Amino acid sequence: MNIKWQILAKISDLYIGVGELINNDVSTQYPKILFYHSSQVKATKFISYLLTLLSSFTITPGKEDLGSGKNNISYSKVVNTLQYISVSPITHVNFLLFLRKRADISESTIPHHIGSIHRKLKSSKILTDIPEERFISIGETNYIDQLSLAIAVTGLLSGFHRYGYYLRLIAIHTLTWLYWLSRRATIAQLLSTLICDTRLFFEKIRYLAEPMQSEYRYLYAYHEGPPTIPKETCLVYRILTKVGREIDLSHFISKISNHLFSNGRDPIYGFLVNRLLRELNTCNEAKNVITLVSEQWSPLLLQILYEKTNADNIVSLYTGTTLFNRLFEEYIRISLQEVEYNEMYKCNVEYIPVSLTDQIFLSIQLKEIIDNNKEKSLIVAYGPSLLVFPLVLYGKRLNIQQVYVI
Amino acid sequence: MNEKFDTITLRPLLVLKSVNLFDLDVAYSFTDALLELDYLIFAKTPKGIVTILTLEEISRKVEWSKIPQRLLISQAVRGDLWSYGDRIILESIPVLSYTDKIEGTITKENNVLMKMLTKYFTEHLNLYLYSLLILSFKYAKKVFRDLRRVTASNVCFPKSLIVLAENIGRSLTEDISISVDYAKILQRMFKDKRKKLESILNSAELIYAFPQTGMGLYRLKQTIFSLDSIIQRFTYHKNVIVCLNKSINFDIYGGCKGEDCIFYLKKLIIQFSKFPDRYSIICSPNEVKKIAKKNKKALLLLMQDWNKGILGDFIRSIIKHHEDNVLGMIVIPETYYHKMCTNKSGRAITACGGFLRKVCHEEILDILSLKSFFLEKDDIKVIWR
Repeated sequence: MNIKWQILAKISDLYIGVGELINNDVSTQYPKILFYHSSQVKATKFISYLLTLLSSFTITPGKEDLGSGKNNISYSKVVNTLQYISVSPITHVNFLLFLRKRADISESTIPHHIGSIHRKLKSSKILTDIPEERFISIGETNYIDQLSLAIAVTGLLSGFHRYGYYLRLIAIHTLTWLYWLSRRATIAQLLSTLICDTRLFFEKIRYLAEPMQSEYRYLYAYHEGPPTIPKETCLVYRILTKVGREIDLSHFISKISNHLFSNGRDPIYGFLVNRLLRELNTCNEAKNVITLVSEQWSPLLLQILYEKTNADNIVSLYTGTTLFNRLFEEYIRISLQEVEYNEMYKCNVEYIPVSLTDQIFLSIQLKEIIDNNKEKSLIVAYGPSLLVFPLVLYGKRLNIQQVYVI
Repeated sequence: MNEKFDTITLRPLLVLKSVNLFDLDVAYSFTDALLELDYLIFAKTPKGIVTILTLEEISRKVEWSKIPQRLLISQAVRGDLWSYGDRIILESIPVLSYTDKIEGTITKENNVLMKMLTKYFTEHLNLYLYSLLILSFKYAKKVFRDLRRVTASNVCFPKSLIVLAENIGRSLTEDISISVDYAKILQRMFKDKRKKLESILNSAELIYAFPQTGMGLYRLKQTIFSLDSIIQRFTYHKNVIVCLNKSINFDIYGGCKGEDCIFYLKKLIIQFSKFPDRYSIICSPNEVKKIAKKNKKALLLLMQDWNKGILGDFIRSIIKHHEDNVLGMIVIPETYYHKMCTNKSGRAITACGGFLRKVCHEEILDILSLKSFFLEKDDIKVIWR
């Protein structure tokens, strides 16, 4: 079995990898491989990050829920949870679970080992050797890199569906933001891998059968064919690390976008660079920003909004479709704060669920939200017309001076 | 060890009947429900601990198949109670928790609450149920907290539901009121909007329709059927001008663009419409003044979404041409949750797609009043002045 490993990392005694079966015919839809091995479960924060993100917030053990010392959660329980996640239709990821072939046990005929071996053989977990290639080594207390690794793994394992595509995008956006904040080489490495893998994603979806193909046509319908994304990870890494630390994030992502996508067809940062930044370049400072959470909502987008408006409060209206984005942004923000990393946007982010199609309640809700936040307020409306038009209408009726439709 | 079990008593606090839980994305996943529950019950133990349980009535032997599907989708429904119903016991899977056939009446207040939820809060209800049954409790609580955020006004997502969900596993000391007096406010708003829409739809002589172009033939067919329904349902002879966004690829017959689409679209209109002669097609805002008579009363129908920049150009051109004869604009969602009058399954809500395609004529106004966004003439000017 030949596997091309895209990410291999090691945290203490935990090995994690994401790869693909090579000779994988592009017309097929084999999921990627998640390799997981740990002799003891020490890197509990990483496991917590990984399970939370991979399970789309359905299984979210905190550090304390994973036990400590001798009472640590067992390796097999983590593995079984990963296997559950891999088949759950609720999660946005899709992967084949690979485990280490050989266990370090002196006596393989001990009954409880036999039981465990049988269970392994009876399941769809695939056994393989620990890859011999070089692993990125991440320190046991290096939580920023651990969080970045969990984000990158989740992005790479994103499934072939609409949610999967946006999960990949927000993973890239978040790693870009984390790299801009911290300039860590590990993050640049993970980010380059994820960007290059997006090329493969576009190539693969071209070969999907109908009706799955229609699901994706909108992604490149405007451009007559899939976009061009660099192939070489090291080239992307060089570009990322060469771009100087600009004063603001907007210039930073504009530069990356220009370097990576010289033809202007940027499927990764396109919306941010071409539409959001262009419109917000003329805006004034605001105390309150009222905006809609889209499928591209991530800490990066919030940082841009904060930079452009210097707002104290960002009221973010989300629907069921964007619940994941709402939970994801807050999760990343809180996870960073928990490890005392506070370099990010300093505004209050308030989330309010709204409905696209229950328009009677929506009208009451929007009027009230705007009325409560109308002091020095700015509206940024983008996304579905059923939300954008009511938001713009009530905003203008309540005399909000700065209303941007993007 | 001294353990004694005498009775386990649960007192129901709130019963939601025939609950459907859908994938969160109403716009793209509007087909089958993820879960269909006969009853979702919030109950209280003798010591006041709030708990939830799902209750299923077994009506057919084939219902065993719900179990593996449920286990994959939600870890919260593993404690289902199965009511005997017709005394069917499911023997093709490991033993379940069976109980007597449940007897009882759902209170009037409970019925009012459920009616209000399924009429005015369908998406919030789904978000609430999704959080309750699928997200981890830690993250579900974040959504419940969000749902509390717009509760300052009289009209809000029912607080009783939020309080019950937040207190699962804890002792609830306060009394839960499930009365929703503000249902009357929503009902009044609904009636007002319905009346306005009826008047405008009846008096419109010309409809400018803005169809979405993705998803191949499917969407166009649904759009044509929906426009035909409007022509049939309302009085006054109506003509339809279909506006195309010429810069976007039309996802039909291998993809075409701009004026090349007119031929194919006409073909579809002839094939699927009962009134093909009433339709005409334009590709640019400049064509408005050439094709439409100025004094005709015009109504704009936006089918879910469009490029906002190009839509603005069309609207300005329509306003300039028809001036005060523009009656308004209706944004019609392609998909929505609703309890259809034709739905015989007894489910509280079903997911409906295809704009107004499957809506019976009596229900069109209800759907438009509840689900569509309506801009009056002056509102259009506020947005596109």
